[in-house]
Amino acid sequence: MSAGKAVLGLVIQRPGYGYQLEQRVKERFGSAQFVASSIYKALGRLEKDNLIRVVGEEEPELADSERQRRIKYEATQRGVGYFREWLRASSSVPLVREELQLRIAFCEPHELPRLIEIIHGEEQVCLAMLSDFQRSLRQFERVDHRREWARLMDMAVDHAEASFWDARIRWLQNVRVFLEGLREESELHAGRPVWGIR
Amino acid sequence: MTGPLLSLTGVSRSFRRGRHELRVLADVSLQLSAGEIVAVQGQRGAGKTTLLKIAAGMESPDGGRVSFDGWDLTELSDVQLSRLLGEQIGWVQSSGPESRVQVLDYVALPLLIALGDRAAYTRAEQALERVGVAECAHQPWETLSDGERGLVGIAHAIVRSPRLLLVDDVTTILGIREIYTLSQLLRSIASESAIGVLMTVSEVAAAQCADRTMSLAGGRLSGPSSERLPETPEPPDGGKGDVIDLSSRERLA
Repeated sequence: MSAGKAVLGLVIQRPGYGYQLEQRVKERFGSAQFVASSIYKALGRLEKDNLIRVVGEEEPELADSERQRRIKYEATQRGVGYFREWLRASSSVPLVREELQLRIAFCEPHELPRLIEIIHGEEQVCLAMLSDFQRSLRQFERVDHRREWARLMDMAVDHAEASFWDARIRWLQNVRVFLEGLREESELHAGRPVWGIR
Repeated sequence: MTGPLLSLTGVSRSFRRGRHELRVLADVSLQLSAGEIVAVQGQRGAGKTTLLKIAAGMESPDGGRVSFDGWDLTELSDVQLSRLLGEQIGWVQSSGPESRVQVLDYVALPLLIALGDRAAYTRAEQALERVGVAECAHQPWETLSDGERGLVGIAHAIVRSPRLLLVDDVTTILGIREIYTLSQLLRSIASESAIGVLMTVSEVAAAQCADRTMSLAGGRLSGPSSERLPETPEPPDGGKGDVIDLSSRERLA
């Protein structure tokens, strides 16, 4: 996940000063472990690309003269359009976990069906990656005449590889089933927002 | 036979839970050939056992078609279904007989009426030998380890030389080594005896012997696919703004 997309999504949700956005990125996507410099760098580039713009500046107080000016940003129409298009698209490789989290975090109700399909597509891609792995295991077994000890160690490593895909597929399943439940609720109530935490 | 051994087409099944209708299978399609192993991963309550029961003709779907060797299971009589289940389909599960029943008696049980004691016990010994636990023949079920129970469960299912093996989540409680042993065994049974194997697993790590692994969640049975949805859009500036990071695809962490 790029810091740029995280920042753009947050600015679209609510305009904010750089230092506020830095905090919000860290609070919302802490596991991505963005460093502060990458967030400020992202803000500069988003502005250069006309995806966000400056809407206000605060001069530092005298005692704070060492500090930089505080700049407030908001998203441009172009930025909103770009972000929503990105949200509905998929990529040619499995999405990193954080990137999918980002799409989920900023999904609007009308984008739910598309998001469900993206997640289902990810499940299928993970199953394909797993199938490739399983196929390679079988090919390997046919030519493997090594010592028993090496085979036992391979077993543990193979299990770790499969467990990685298992965890990912389970997470995708859980998220998809959850979102499908929301979609069904929405359809039951003719599209009116009825969601709440139960 | 040229067609698939087992075929499920557009199968659906729902259960009523209080005021809610729980849809466990929605338009599920699956084909399995002789000698092929297909694993279906699903979490607890995903509908894995329901899928196997429908595949075995033990339960009727709400909609869709299930065929075994070209026979439409939904059109067979109870007697025909019962014979099919007894002769052609083996069911492997983690639960076993009464705790004190001896392993050999348990494995011979499906053949006692049809073949008589002597032939049934001979075949049961052969089945136990085949799965590698012949030494457990005279032990009570309760003394077996989880791994041995899985293997004896397979012996119980293959003793009648079925053409289809339905394996219901027997790897859940097994360790890495036991999973490996069981996987190797299923692989050799499938390829040597041209038996189709449909197995359910809670974790894909337990499906290492499978030719294909599918997943069942929210009623959907999904298979592997490399087909992608439309690509991520180009950024408005044609890709120059690298903060959007469209060009450098990040791989899975």
